Amino acid sequence: MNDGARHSEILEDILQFIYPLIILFGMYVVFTGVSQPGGGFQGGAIVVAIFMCRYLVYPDEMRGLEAIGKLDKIILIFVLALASLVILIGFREVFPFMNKIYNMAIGILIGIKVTSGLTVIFYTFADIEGGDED
Amino acid sequence: MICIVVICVTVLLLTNIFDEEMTPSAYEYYIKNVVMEAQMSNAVTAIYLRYRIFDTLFEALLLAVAVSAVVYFAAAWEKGKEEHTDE
Repeated sequence: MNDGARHSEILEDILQFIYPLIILFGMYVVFTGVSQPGGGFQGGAIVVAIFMCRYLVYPDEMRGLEAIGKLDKIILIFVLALASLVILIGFREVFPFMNKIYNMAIGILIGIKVTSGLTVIFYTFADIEGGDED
Repeated sequence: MICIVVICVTVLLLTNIFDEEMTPSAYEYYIKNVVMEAQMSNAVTAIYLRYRIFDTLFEALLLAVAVSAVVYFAAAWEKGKEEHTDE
């Protein structure tokens, strides 16, 4: 496939305007998940829209996909460790201040995890589908 | 034969579920204690990050397994396609 044929400057300019809005909305949903509808899963799924938009503009320029896959696994370990320490072992009863830290941290970690996981899945499928068109 | 058994078991289970009377103890407990115990004003988030933490953890684990599976099968497919092209 000719990359130049799919590259659109109009799309690129519009998406440059939309990127910050998607990031802001995604972070808002993640951070306000404690007190309002939202949370890590939903916010992470919104932030993935950035990578999907990026694929529309630059279909062949995605570097660091393996690093994102590794980040997904590392964040999973952090999520398991934090939840095990605070909830299962019971640090929240010994140190009450851990409650608020846990509430915020687990949401952010799950948000990063969902973002990285769905990005890898999206780009892998997009790579397969894009490869068939050649 | 297996299908008939499965259908019978499903129907029996469904009738059992619909006959079950829910006790109000769970939601009353959450409404009373969620703010004090979890220190969250959103009960839904408190349930999936506190009271049902195993559900959330295994959901995260499931996503990681799904990512690994997609990457693995994509690589296997690419390899198979290359071998098919070589032939």
